[in-house]
Amino acid sequence: MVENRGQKYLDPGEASRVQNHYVCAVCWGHLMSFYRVEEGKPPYVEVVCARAVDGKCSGTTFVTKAYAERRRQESQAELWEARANLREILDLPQSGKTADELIDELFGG
Amino acid sequence: MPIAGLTDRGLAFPQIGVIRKGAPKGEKSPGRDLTYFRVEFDASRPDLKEKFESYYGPQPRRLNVVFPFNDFDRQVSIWYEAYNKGRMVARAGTVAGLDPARNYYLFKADPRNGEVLAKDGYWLSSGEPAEYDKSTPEYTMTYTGKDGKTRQLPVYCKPITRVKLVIRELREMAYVLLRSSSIYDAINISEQLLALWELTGHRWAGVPLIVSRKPVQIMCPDENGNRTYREKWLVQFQADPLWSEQKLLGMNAEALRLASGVVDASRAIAALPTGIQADEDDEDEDYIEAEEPDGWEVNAPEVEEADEVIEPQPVVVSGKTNGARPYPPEQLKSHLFEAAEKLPEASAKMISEVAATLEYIYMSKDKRQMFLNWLCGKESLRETDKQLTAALHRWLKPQYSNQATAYIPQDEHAAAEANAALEQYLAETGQEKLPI
Repeated sequence: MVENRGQKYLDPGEASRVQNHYVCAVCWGHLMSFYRVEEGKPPYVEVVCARAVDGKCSGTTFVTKAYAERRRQESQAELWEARANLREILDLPQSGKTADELIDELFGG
Repeated sequence: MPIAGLTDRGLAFPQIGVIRKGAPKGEKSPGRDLTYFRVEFDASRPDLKEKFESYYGPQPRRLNVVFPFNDFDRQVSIWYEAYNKGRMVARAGTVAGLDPARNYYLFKADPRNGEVLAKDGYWLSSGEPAEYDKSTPEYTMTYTGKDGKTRQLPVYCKPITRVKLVIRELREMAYVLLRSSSIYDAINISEQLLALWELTGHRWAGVPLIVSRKPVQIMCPDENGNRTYREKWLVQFQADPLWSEQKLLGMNAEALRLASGVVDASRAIAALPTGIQADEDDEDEDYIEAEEPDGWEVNAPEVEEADEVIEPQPVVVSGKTNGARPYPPEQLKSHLFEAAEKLPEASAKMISEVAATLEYIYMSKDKRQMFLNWLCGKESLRETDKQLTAALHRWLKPQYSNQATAYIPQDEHAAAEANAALEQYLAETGQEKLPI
């Protein structure tokens, strides 16, 4: 029994839309929905992070799938920029790769 | 409490934690305001928490950080936002191409079904600008209080400030997110960071910064309508004092050199308006104070901590000073060589300390090499005469600072003299002054 780990929706259609178009705000993993019936309350659908079910994620809120995908793409560029800006400050090790190897890696050559 | 799943997003430059200002929320109560940062790391990286606490302890009030990006918008975001059942239903702010003095919806959805109503500043139905009015609630929710009574609660957007920070001591190519929903933090942080952005010539990535919590007296009415002060611990950003000192010294030297009076106006510090007004409730994410009255005012802190006051020091660019410190470059060089003749050779430890201290002064390996080139025509301390290195050690008086996690010069004039020497080297070699 999974309780209080996600968001509750009285409208099953709305819960379905959330499950299809959103991902967990913490791990950006897929969502699951559970149909719940509790005594004295109207039935509802609870949408939760699939990884939260077995305790691997603490997320209870959601972001759109489109946002998560866009951020993943941006993150590669962010890594290159941050690495260039912070290499000296953080005393990061050099990659040990030649310029040709790095260019090949960048452009998939 | 750690955050499970944060590093599982598949990001190349991942978020590894969150910096919060308040205690965790209770079952039906907001968390109380804290006077220190509550830093949560991803549960899958317990080593981060251990490493962090070995430097800062469990309740840090100041952190040594750097910004990973030069782009302002990539580094900092401040939006009005509202959420419903875990989903964002509104985000508002200024929009390029529309009136910069007004806020518009960058995103607005129907809270009942998630249908997108406005995007990028315009209503999707009519194509008209979707202006945001902070006095209009985004939706109304039904709320059951502790007394069991059901109430209708209007939900408004709150200003959410997010800043991406790299904690220097962790030495991780990953960031932690500082998040606040305080209107006063939004105003303070935006003004401080805009000033810093200008000061650094829009190149602030890698500049050593200190983020701290400082008490501010906020005036607000009490239950009887009388005005009273309440203490709030806001977030303060400042450049590392030593970096600021170097920057001021550099600016002084440049002002002396540019006797014509021509000054680059782009370097002026400007505290730009944010468009957010200080007349709203201060509702922090982690310590929502639902009963706060309207009409608050902020009194800026009047007294800074003594160790953060930066006293500009006189700089001598050229000429003799009759032995008074700081020495002009040629006199410094002469003294160093004279001292070298009388000193034993520097040990390996001393050589390392000199290298680390010079690098701390210049914040750059290249500039350290230029200084050595100016001094003795070498670019590495390995090649430099060990007696001369011993003289450098005596001049700099390196001492390890746990707070700065670096070797810093204990001689009060050494940094100014080192900078003046570099200035002279750059002038002699016909190079333009490097941007800091």
